[in-house]
Amino acid sequence: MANAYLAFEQVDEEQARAIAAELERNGWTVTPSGGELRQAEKLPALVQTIGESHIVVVLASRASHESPWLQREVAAALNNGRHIIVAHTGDLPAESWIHATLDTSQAVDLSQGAHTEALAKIADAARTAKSGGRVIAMLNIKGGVGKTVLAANLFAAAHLANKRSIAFIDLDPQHNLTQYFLSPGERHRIRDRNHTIYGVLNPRGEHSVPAIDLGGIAIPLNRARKGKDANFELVAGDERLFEFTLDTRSDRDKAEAFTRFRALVTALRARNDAVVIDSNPCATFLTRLAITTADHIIAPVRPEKYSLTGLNMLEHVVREVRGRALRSSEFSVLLNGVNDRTRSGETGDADALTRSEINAAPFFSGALLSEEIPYSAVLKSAPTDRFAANPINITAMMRVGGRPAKEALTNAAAAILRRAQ
Amino acid sequence: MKLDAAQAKLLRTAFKGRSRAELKQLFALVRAHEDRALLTAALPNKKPTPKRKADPLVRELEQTLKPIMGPSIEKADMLIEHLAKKHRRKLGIEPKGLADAAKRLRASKFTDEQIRAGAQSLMAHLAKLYGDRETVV
Repeated sequence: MANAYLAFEQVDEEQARAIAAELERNGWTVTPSGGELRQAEKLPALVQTIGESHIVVVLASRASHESPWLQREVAAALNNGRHIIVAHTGDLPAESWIHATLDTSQAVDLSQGAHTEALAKIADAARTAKSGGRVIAMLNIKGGVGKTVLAANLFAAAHLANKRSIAFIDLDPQHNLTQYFLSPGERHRIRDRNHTIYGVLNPRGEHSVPAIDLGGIAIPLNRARKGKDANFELVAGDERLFEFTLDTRSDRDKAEAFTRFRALVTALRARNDAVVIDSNPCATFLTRLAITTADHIIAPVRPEKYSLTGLNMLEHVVREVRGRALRSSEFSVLLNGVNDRTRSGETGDADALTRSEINAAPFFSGALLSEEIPYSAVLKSAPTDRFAANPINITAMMRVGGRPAKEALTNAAAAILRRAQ
Repeated sequence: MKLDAAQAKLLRTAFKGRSRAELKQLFALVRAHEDRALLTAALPNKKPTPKRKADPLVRELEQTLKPIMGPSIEKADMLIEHLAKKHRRKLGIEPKGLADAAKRLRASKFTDEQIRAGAQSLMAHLAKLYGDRETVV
């Protein structure tokens, strides 16, 4: 059953009751905010409850603007990537943090009381939020584990073999995912039009994409005549994203970037089965964006000890950002590059050692997928003289040979999408 | 020399349903001839499959469009679209591959020379759009 958290102040209790009743009538389990959870010593439990809810409904009024508890509840919802529905119950100051933090343009108006039409709108918004695609982040604090190449190939397999519609967001300043799919000329043309994630994160100025068109900048990656059933698209990255990894951007810029990024993800979720975020291998503002919007995290691991260190750091970073204890079902650990015959045998059976190391771990043992990706030449991204006018043709699924790798990719992608549900 | 169980089973399977006299005749035949002669006589005649004569235009198109990654059907689509644009004609052809594209283009009164030139100008066009390489500053 789906859970909804209702954040409100005492003065809005009447409207809150009506919303709770409407949501319950539509099959939701509602947890209202109140004295029980709003205690300093129970803050972790409050964050946990919000983090495990599917949606958070915020009742916005002057009282909520002044409430430090409501501010904490909204922060917890944002840090955990929960979908937030805003309902106006009274006057809200124009300079309120609620306007600055949340998208209030779509807020439901309850200032004239909780009438049927407004309640139906909230129930509709809740249903839409629950029915959208899943947001999946490729993350490991260690670099070189195969985040980018796996992201492209796993979800190309899901698209080609199981007709899933997929949107990628390249959130790495190195923008290797964009390079993987698009030629330099095409990337320059997209960059010149500001149709990259940099334009999304910039709220103003000549490089900014209008807020109304955030989802419209995605580039189709399957341009074949027969590939028009399901989406396969990319919001390209570019190197200017590094500005968000250094401390050159103000907090205000970052807050606005955060809101615009959430809006982009919402737009892509509405038309895709999965939104896949390829992240940079470290803990920066960009990593934070990925963690706060992701429903599920895929951590690729190579059979080597350093990627296990990256895995431990990942759990730590995600727990820090989300402010709560995590469940291993929120992660999928995917062993990448097993059966590598090109590796020297001097380290013993690295695959078995890595597998048993993760299986013995208290947290990540529950996240390790039984599906593994074998070492394969079709997954290499070596420079080539050939080019793909249709970007999907660059992926392993469209290349000649490599049947074990293709089967492994299809099975692993299906397992991940099942876990992410 | 005595046969082992597996060899005996093999013989029984091979000569199942033969009379004693027939078997003696067969053994004598085997003893009297070489393997090659026995195999030629026993195995069915393999008719060499007649090779289809390859269309030189199709072979040339495949070579010209080889740098494009992707299935033949997509290359054929691009070629048709490019020729339609180049010759300002509405073709409405959805080919199954390059051979089919060549066949249907010929049926649409395109000469082999025009098709060949179309493939080359398509490559030049695509190379301009997608063929550039990564550079280092």
